[in-house]
Amino acid sequence: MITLSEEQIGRLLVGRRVSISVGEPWDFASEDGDNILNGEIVGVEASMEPGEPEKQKVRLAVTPFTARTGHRIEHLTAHARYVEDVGIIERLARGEDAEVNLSYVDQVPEDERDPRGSPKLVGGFRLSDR
Amino acid sequence: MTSLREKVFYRYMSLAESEAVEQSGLLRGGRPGRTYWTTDRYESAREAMGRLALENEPEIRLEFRITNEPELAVEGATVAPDEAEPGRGTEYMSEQSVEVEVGRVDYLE
Repeated sequence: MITLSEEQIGRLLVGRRVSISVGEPWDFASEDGDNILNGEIVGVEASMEPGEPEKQKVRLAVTPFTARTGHRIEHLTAHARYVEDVGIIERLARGEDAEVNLSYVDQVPEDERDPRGSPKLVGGFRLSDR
Repeated sequence: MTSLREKVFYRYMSLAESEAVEQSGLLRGGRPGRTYWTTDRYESAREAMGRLALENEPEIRLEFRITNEPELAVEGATVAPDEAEPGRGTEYMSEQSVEVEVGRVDYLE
């Protein structure tokens, strides 16, 4: 039996394709379809300390889309939507869906951000063979 | 176990989505993808956004009962903090269509 750390598993995930099911915004649409977005894992970030699954982040390159803010978005940063013991990296490695917030705040210039909002999608994603 | 049909739920949304619900009888107007809702009743748009870590302040609080039996992928999970939002709200989620009987539609400040 091989035991790998979250960080090692994360590195194995880089380059894998993913399929994202978008729940919010409710009327999201992309070139991939209504409430669907495809992408690829381009980076992972995991805490070196065990027991901190909420700190795991997965960086995704996605089919470009125009956000509600009018900005063209090409990358999303996924992190866990719920308080839970299992991190999103482990869920992906198990072949399960990861329930996440998908932030694109880094692609919205600071002076153009809505102070009452947090630019992101909400949904879930899993590894895809496509 | 309590049936979904026996409980009162809330979803916080835009005016456009509430119109789609009214026309279709389905949350999110029956669009594909994940559908989220909660047992939490918030009095302000800011509180709903913060507790449920929403993208924007919602315009509408929809109170409803579920009239079908969608399979739950998330049942009463606690929303994690996100950026400046404190989270800690309660959330349910299904990937199936959620048929509803609307009880109240309230505009949020």
